[in-house]
Amino acid sequence: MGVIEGEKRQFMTGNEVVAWAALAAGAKAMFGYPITPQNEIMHYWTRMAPEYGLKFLQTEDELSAGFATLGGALAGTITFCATAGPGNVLMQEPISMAEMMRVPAVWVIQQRGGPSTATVIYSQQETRLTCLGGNGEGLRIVYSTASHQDMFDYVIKAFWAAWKFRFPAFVLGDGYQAKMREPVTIYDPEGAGVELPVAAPILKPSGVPSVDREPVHMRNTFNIEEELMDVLMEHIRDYSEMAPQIVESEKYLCEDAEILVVAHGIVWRSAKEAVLGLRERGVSAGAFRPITLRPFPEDDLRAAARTAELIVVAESAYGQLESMVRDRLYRIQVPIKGILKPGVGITAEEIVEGVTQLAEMSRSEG
Amino acid sequence: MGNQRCCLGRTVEAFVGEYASGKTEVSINRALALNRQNRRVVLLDLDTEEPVYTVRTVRPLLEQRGLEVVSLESHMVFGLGEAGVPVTEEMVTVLRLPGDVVIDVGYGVHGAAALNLIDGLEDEPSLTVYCVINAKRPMTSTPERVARYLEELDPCHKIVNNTNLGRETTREVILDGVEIVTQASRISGKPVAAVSVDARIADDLGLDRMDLGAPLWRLELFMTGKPKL
Repeated sequence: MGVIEGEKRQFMTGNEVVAWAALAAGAKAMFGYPITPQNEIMHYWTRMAPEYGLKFLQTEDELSAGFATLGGALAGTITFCATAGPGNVLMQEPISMAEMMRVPAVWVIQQRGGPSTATVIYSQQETRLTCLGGNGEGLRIVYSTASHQDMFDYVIKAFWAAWKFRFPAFVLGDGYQAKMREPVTIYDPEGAGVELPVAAPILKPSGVPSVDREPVHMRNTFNIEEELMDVLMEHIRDYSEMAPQIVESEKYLCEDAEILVVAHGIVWRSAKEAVLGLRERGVSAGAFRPITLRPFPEDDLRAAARTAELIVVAESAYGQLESMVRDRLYRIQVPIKGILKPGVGITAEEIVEGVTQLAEMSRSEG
Repeated sequence: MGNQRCCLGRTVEAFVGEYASGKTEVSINRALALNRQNRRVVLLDLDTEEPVYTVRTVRPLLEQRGLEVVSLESHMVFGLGEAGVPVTEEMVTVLRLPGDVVIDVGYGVHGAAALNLIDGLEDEPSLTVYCVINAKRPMTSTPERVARYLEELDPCHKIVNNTNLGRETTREVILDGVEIVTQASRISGKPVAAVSVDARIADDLGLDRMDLGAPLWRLELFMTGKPKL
């Protein structure tokens, strides 16, 4: 039996949900360095540690925390890490190493304002960084959550995906989700038929090298360009093959939508409410949410935009999601506009107002 | 000091407890309840842990209702309080003010430790420290966990059972809470002072006609995120 008996409805903050989900998924160690607004993930993990025999190490900085997380995975332990903002920037180096060496690990990002230290509170400004940071090709899985239930479900899924496909996996939350409190169903994943990660020592599996098994040779450095490209092309092929098994999205009243609102994360909640508000005003609006930002659900987006005459991207950043949407809808004959509020939350009323104005502008542009 | 002389028969109450257990809502409502008995009431916002979901944010509304509120100004708080929170002289000397004093304390053991900063509190004969428990919070979800938590938070004199699932609170949720907290009370020897419930939910469920094992405190919710002014 798992650490959670059956399923139960609880009243929790997002950070607590993350800690419980990691525990339920079978994680045994967390490495971290304090940064708001993710601190309570570490606090709750350490509070649970004595009872469930968990490990925690606060390292000297985020670089070390990131590398320690990979070390834990190499040793055969299910490990994870949580950070935000400047910490997320620093962790891109260990995350790049995970991409290069195909080390599984889970990162939970609770976005805060940026650039730099900015605010400790909220934003969606780590969208691009989390998807494409590091000095590589963005070979990673990124789930963007919109509720505490998502947090619980996708943290567990991220562990499964990371260990199954051997790419680093992210759960992209934000300060609002971290701190707000709402009811959530926590459950024993095994009992619910949810797949769990299977871990074994990666660097030093059992058996004698060259006798019982091939020697393990993991590399993040190469002598010549072509050698690197051969390895990378294999990773890129694996990633492309994985993508259809990973991509997820959500549609809301898109079937006849002339105006399509695209949003991810917590802004999705406002987007859905805004669609209802717009429909009350006689505007046939719908909404689309990429749940995986990497790989991006581009076929789903194109299908959702089928009847659209205007696409409006709403995000708490200045065009990070918007540029992904433009890229994926290349050559679409429909204007793509943005309601862009870097570092600030977006209400349903603001989306209704913004969409109404943009629709008018778009009509007059003709 | 002059505390006893100036304020004989006063009530001094502090509300401590787990993160997001409902301390602020309970404190505000307790202060308003005392105020309705025509008592002069000072409500002190002593959340030094995460001064965001605090009394301060609804201060004008509470002042309109006749409470005297002692709190920081928003410009004195940086971020979510992780860089430290100032404590003012007015806060430290709150017991020198006439009337009842209700103190909303920050979460956890560290939050409760801030009570040590209040001048004269250890000699205050009328002090009652209540621990607010929501048995739908995972860290206080069984009688044993609640009892352990009460021990960690010592000194705490009485329990306020604030078990809820927000808007999803049902009769079963309340009854579950009563069972868990009653057992925890037996284990810990700390009495349950009240069962606090959102007034609208209490009315819908007809809780005033039910035996909850302790008095019902009907809460008017203030920390809903929607401005009341």
